[in-house]
Amino acid sequence: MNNKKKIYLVLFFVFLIVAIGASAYAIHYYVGLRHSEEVAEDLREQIQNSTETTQEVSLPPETVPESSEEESTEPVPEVDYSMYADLEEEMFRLVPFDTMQEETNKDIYAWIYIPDTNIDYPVLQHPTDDTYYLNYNIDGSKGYPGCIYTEKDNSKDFTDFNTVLYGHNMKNGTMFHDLHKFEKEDFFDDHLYVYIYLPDRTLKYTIYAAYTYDDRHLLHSYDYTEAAGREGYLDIIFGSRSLSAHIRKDMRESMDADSNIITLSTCIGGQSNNRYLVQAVLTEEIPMEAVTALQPVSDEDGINES
Amino acid sequence: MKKLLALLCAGILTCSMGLVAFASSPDTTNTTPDVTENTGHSTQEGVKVWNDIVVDGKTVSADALEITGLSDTVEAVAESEAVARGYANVVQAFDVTFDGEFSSLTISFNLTGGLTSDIVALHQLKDGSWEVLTPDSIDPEKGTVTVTFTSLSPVVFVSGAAATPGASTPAAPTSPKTADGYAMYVAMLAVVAFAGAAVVGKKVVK
Repeated sequence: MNNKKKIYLVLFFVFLIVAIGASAYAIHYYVGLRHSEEVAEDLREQIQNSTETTQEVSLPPETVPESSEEESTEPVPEVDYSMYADLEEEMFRLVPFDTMQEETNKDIYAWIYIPDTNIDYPVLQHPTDDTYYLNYNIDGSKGYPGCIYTEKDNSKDFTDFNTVLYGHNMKNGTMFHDLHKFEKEDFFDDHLYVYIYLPDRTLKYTIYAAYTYDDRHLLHSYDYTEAAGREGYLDIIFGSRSLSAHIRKDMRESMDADSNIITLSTCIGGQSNNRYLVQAVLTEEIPMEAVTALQPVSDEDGINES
Repeated sequence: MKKLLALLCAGILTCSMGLVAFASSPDTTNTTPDVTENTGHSTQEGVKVWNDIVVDGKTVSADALEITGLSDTVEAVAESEAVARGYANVVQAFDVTFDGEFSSLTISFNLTGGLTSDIVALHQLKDGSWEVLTPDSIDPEKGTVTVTFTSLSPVVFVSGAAATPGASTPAAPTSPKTADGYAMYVAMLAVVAFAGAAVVGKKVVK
């Protein structure tokens, strides 16, 4: 075999090894993506099933009345939940957290849903490692797309001034990719709400801002401990004159240092030092007792009655 | 004759230098008086500002300058900004306004806090973001720091940066990187590598 052929042979094997290695990586990546999305879809079906059928939802222990040895002669007062009756159906989704935590991942503690987007995912928080769910999926496998998650600095009951949720900006449209839909003014104007589901209540947030920001860590860069700091942070956002930012300026009046806001953070393609943020303020909440009490009940004819 | 003429011209030039003695007094009704000497400083809100300020290259009085304290919220924001950028000390914070238009405005301040060689000014821009301004000069003897602004608003003098001077992002924690991976590019590499193997393979077979 002459030298030229030897060189071609070596090149052939080099190309082949690179091709096989790259293919293996790409296949593993896309199989992982598909599997994660299947798990998420399975969880969404659980919510669908849980909401469509009237079933008992696990309530926090302190709300479960303790049985007494003697039978109580006093009637249990009926609670009036009619004030919630006119809320939209999104507020009445039942998320079976107990089942999800037992069968899928114990770190699931909330669920996020934004209508007309693919954002319909569990929210997780790792007890020790804040970066865990950047690189690990909900089924524990390593790799993309990771999970929607919060860091330990945020409590899991969404009572902090600013709860920051992170999610990858996946090219296949999953995770927090659809946050970038809010870059379009029409979409921002027409889509106002983010729903957060917790075991004991459902939260509805109204979106007030969507903008590009630098990559500073929001929880470590601003002092939220004092009211002046919280007001100042709101002033920064509402004071922005960036042409690309969408801000509902008229909402500033109704917000103050006691507001609860959420920040949804994801990356921007080609801008590693920036993040795209969508922020919303808590405007409505409904306790789980009301969610279950106001669930539609099927009669004998299968007709749903609210 | 030529020498006499040259002597006459030299004499006229020498005498003409003294003509300024006959100039009239400055017009005190002028609303923007020119100040050609540094005659000291004035104090507003505890901030000493030297009387000469330079507006678009022209030295003018600092009378058109107003310094006020910051509201609690803006001061909190300013301090948060300093912390975010890794500065250890907030020396002094205030709001500066100027009655007039300008594209560059140079002001010398005497700060009540410590004047160190690493002092910089954090300045809030009209869009609410903050920029770092390195002083034009720091004079330890006079205790002044001179800064040139392209616009005016809240100013915070800070020092004790953790990062090297001039760094735009001092050692402050950053938000998690939530970009997608590189699988797409790896997949393209696989395609190119297979194509390369096919082309080279044909040559091997020949």
